[in-house]
Amino acid sequence: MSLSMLRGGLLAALCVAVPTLAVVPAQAADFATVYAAAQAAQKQAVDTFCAWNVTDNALAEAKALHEKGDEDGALKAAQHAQALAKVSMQQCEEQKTLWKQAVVR
Amino acid sequence: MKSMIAAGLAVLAAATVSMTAAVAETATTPEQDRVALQRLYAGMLPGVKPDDFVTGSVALDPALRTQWEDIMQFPPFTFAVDHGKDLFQQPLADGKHYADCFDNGGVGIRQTYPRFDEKTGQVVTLESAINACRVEHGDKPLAPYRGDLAAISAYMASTSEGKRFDVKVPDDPRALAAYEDGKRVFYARRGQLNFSCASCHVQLAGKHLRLQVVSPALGMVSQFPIYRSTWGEMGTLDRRFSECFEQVRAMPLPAQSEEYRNLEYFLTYMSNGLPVAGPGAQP
Amino acid sequence: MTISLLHKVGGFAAALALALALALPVLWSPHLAVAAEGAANAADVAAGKALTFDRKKGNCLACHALSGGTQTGNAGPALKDMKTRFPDSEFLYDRIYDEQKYNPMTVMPTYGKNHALSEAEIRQIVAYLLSL
Repeated sequence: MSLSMLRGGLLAALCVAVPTLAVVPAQAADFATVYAAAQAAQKQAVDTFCAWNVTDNALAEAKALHEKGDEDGALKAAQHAQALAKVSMQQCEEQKTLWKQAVVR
Repeated sequence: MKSMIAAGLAVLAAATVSMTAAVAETATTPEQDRVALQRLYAGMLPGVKPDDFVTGSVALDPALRTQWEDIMQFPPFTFAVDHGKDLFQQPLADGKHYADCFDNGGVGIRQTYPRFDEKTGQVVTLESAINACRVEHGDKPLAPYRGDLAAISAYMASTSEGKRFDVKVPDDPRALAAYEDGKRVFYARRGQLNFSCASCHVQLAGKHLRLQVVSPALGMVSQFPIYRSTWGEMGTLDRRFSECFEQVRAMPLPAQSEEYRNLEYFLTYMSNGLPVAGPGAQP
Repeated sequence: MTISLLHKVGGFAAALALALALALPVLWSPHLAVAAEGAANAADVAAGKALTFDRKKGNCLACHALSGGTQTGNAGPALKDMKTRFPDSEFLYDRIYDEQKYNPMTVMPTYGKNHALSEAEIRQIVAYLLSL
């Protein structure tokens, strides 16, 4: 197996791996952007009566950690809030039809 | 391991089939829903006499019943009823009275609420009617969860003691839609814990969560407004709804929102035929 | 882009690397990690017990009877003989992660799906439960 072939193989692997990595929450993502996105997602959830109270808790925690200067913690909390808001909307969407299976007949 | 996974898949497959079947079934009428729910509880909790469902978890647990009987020696809602009567008799800003806003001068009518209002196409609860009356006659609405609103509602409920719930879903597509929406709010899972109202108050009625006995949904509205020992004061049904939402880690909805009013409409319809037992007390 | 590159180098190495790259995330999956570590990890068992009892975390005792637990509920089955009932720790992990997938009418919270517990926390709870 030639060296160039191996290099080519590694390159190919990278091409596959890089987009995969991009999906994983990057440490480089900045707090302000993630926090704003989480807030927007939660506002949408509140407006549609889909919101969870724990999302607000996570947002408050993110804000507090940010103010204390704990950037890693703040980013993690903001990402958590964003994930919570997203799943709460997803639950709400699923339940638009799924609730019918629970009705006592 | 294989057999467990196979069993799991079988359960999943069976569930998928029944889910499809359930969704495909035609909608049931409010009366069919009520009969089905009351029959379910009769089967689940055969020791409970039908009228006793209005006392909630007290009907299911002898120790709770003893506590409740002790509390009822000096009912903690007596002050609220007296205070509510005073408020009810005082004139509103323009000199009119609450009595002018309600059928029969507001006496003995609790069992007919919530009602569907054909003019607005909305469900009117007793509390929303009290506040609408205030606004119509120049006063500000009262805060929704406790205090004066709970007191007026407590007094009005007390004048219906022993009367049986008789909530109507008139032959109007908007009324049926409101009822169906209330049914959805009751059966839809919500919150991080992924519970619906029915998860606990239908499926787990009579079971223990920690030391707490879960109350059945049947008769649940009957004792409201209610004095709950955990609150240490009176509260309205909206207050309990919001507390339940918080407990499943959902954001509560606004008091007297359309969803809450529709939920109350559905729940009260389910209790049709049971006696008004409000105001009540819960250990 | 990947395909054209593969074509250019035309190599077996590229295909191998591609396969590896695709397989790696699978190899790293938490499920297999549970199997690899096993329930014997004492630190995980202790952490899992704390999470199981914590009212703000697993709060498993709200519904399940459990040896050593007081004021336990009876909404769900008692948590005992777990190794016999769940010889496959991966299956137990899945049930805690999203019980609704296995039983649509369940009243058990979907802890993982709804981010009530992290994957690492569920792994610790699994380690503890399998010690019961």
